[in-house]
Amino acid sequence: MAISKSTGSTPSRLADVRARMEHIPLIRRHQFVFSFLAVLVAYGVFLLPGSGTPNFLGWVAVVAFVLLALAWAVIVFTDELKPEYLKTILVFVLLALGGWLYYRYSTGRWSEMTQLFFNVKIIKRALPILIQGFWTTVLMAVAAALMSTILGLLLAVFRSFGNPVLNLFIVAYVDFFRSMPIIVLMMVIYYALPFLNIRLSAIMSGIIALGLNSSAYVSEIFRAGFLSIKKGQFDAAHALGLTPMQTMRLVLLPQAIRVVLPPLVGNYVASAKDTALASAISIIELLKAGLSQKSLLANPSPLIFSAVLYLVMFVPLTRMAGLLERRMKAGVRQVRL
Amino acid sequence: MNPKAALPDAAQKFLRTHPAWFKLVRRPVFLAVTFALVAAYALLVLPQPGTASPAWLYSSIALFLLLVLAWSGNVLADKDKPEILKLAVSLLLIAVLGWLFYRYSGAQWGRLIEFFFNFKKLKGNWWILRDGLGVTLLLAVISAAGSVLVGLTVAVLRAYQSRTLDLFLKIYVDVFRSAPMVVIMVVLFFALPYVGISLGSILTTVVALSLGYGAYASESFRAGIEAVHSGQIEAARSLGLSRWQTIRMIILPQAIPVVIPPLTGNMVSMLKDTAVASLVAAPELLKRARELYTSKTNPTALVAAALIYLVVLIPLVRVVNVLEKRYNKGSQ
Amino acid sequence: MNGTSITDKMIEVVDLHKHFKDLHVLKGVNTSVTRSEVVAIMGPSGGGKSTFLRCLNRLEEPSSGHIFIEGVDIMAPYIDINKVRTEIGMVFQSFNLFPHLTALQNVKLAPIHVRRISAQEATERGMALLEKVGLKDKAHAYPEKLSGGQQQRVAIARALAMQPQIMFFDEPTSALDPEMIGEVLDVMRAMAREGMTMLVVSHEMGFIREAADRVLFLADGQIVEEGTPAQIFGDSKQVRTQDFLSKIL
Repeated sequence: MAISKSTGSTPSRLADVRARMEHIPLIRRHQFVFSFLAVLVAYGVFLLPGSGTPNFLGWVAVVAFVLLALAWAVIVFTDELKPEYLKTILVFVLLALGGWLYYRYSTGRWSEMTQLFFNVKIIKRALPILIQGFWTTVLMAVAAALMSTILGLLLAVFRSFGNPVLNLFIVAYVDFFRSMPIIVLMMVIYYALPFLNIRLSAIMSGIIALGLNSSAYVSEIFRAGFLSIKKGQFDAAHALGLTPMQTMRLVLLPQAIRVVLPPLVGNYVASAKDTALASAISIIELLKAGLSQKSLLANPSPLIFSAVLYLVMFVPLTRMAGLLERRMKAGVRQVRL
Repeated sequence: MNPKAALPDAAQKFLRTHPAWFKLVRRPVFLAVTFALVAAYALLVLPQPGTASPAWLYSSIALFLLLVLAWSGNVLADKDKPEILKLAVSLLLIAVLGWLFYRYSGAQWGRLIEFFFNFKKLKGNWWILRDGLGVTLLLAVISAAGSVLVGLTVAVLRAYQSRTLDLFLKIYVDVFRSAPMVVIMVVLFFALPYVGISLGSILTTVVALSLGYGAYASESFRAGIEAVHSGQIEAARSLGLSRWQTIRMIILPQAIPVVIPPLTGNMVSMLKDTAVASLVAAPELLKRARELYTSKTNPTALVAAALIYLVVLIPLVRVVNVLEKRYNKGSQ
Repeated sequence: MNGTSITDKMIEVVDLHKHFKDLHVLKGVNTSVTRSEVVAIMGPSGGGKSTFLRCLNRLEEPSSGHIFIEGVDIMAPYIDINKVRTEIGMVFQSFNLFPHLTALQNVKLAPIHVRRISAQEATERGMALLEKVGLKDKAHAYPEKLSGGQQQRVAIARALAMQPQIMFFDEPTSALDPEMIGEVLDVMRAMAREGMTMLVVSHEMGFIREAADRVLFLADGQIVEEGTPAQIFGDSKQVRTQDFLSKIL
């Protein structure tokens, strides 16, 4: 399109901009964005209820405001032409807005937040139990991992024999323990078995439940590992004169470990997370410690501390496990079933 | 040509220098002898139940198990042994394991029916379990929808590649994938009331499940989006489609089939995690079963609940397996 | 070189039979291979060619019959088959390189662990062999990064590293794209010229005509016909052979 008649070094930039803007959809145009913002500000100043807990209509107004603000934020965020620094500022503005809204409508318990959730004095008092809970969690995770690895390996080896009778049992076992929710399994072992005279301590029940469940997945992982080694590898190794022992050591094991390690680590991490379920059968692991101390000291700080501890433990572990899996296979990330 | 001619020089370098132990353990004589030894061990060495110290009991049983597994493994792994023998050995192995368990569990197996399958005690109360199942399924369905919503939104927003937004969303995903579901539920249910937010048990469960599994779902969706070849995106953009249009018409339709297997796996896991909601007082199956167990002092309700979970979940797990296999075949 | 002494007969096969459950795959094969001879084995698929080759180094256990390598009955209990295998190098249709090792490590593995030579010597030998097959610059590449033809050449170097007296090739070029077949056949031709005793199962007519001293036509588990390439391709006596040749020529 013609820009303008030549007036030297500055063609009509206005026409240029206008021409370009015709291709921009409505919601991206500066005018729209700023007018929307103005509407939001007006809404916030005039239409929002005053401080204190609002009534039902008030809640509706607040929720509508929040949704509108979010919509505006999404429009800005998803605009690739808007500069990055603007979006960063926007994030903090949104957070501040959220905090202000909360402060205004939550009957002013803001100053109490620290007292409630991050009360150092209370946490110090709860610390011994919390630490004990932490170590119990670690103990259970390690014991379950050991048990599941040994069991799973045995199951996978016996499955590799191809015997129909064994396969039936093993497949049934795997299906059973993959489908049973762990918490139900723990409760059955701890509460129901004593009626048959099988009395296991709470910790043993927890470890056994975790170990049994995990072993089903471990056996499938090992099985996949065995299957992943192509038959030709053995041919080549034997043709070179390697003994069966050497073949196992130099050819089979290195390959199998590479295939099996990432999903195995992922399984151990998931199993460790499941130790938190043991709180259901009164084992003083980390979660239960936090809960009981919260009740005892009438303050949720211990619980928050436990939760934060879980995050501190598992965010790095989960990332590491994910990294391992990604190095192994390109494809869809899968949740352990 | 006489095969038994005098050994030529070449034979020297081919001679076996170590005995073939491998061949030895496969010989029938060896197998018979070791079988007899293991049987003798079972009859003579294993202690009567309740007569030995725990240390001796556990170690002798462990050793016995080791021997039995090694012996049967040796037979079953041998390609040259006839199938019928291997079948017999496998049945024998199962029988021995069963016998071990029966002998040493000290359990009153005769009272199994009385305590685990005492349906008389449950008479008239089946509706409680049925209600619980209904709540379980309801929770699962609503949370499934919630998690898909959350996951899709997060994945699409992350596809826009705003660094800041991506960072915050990444934090969300990392936190909710790493935290155990029970911790999320418990914190939401027990800590939030202190700041005046008191969601009921059902709402807490739905929110917790949606947020938690939404994080997993978003990763699945992201992987699905990334699985769409970048050439497709380039072609779409060069045709003039906007980012939103590209996502809606090109990426999503191709990503969905890739995403179905992990997503359905997600949902089945979520169904299992509804049982955790019993800890935050949601009236789902496990909680109602526990109530019945307490009121009747008979664990039949728990066992019944466990069976119901199995009946519902095993087929679902199988279905997801099939889906996974189908997807893997298609992509390779 | 004494042409009739026993040790010149590198391989001697007497009445070899092989059963797979109910299937009688090899029905009495008799043949022999002398030093430096290049023998090609042809025939329809399922005829037993691969099975025959694999029986010779006992990758498959023969059901009955005798096999003599350098005059020694390799089925005898006092013989360590792994030692026999060090004298026979084998190259497979699907290469079978070890994926967790680089090309050089693949080549070095057996000399170090079976022949027990030092690592340094194995490295030197390995590099020399890789250079011989034209892959010196790929010594530290992993198999997944190599093309099919390159992988097969590494496989040949790996087999040669054991300094075998005999080389077996089980359809070495069947899994290769056409443009890579030539580089592998070149290596094989060079080996034949240097006097290696070779047994090659293949359909590559050009190579067989050029390099093979003898052709065995194996069908239905038996040697239907054998002779020089000229005899087999030009003037075959058996109907079966003519039938097969007409289909592939």
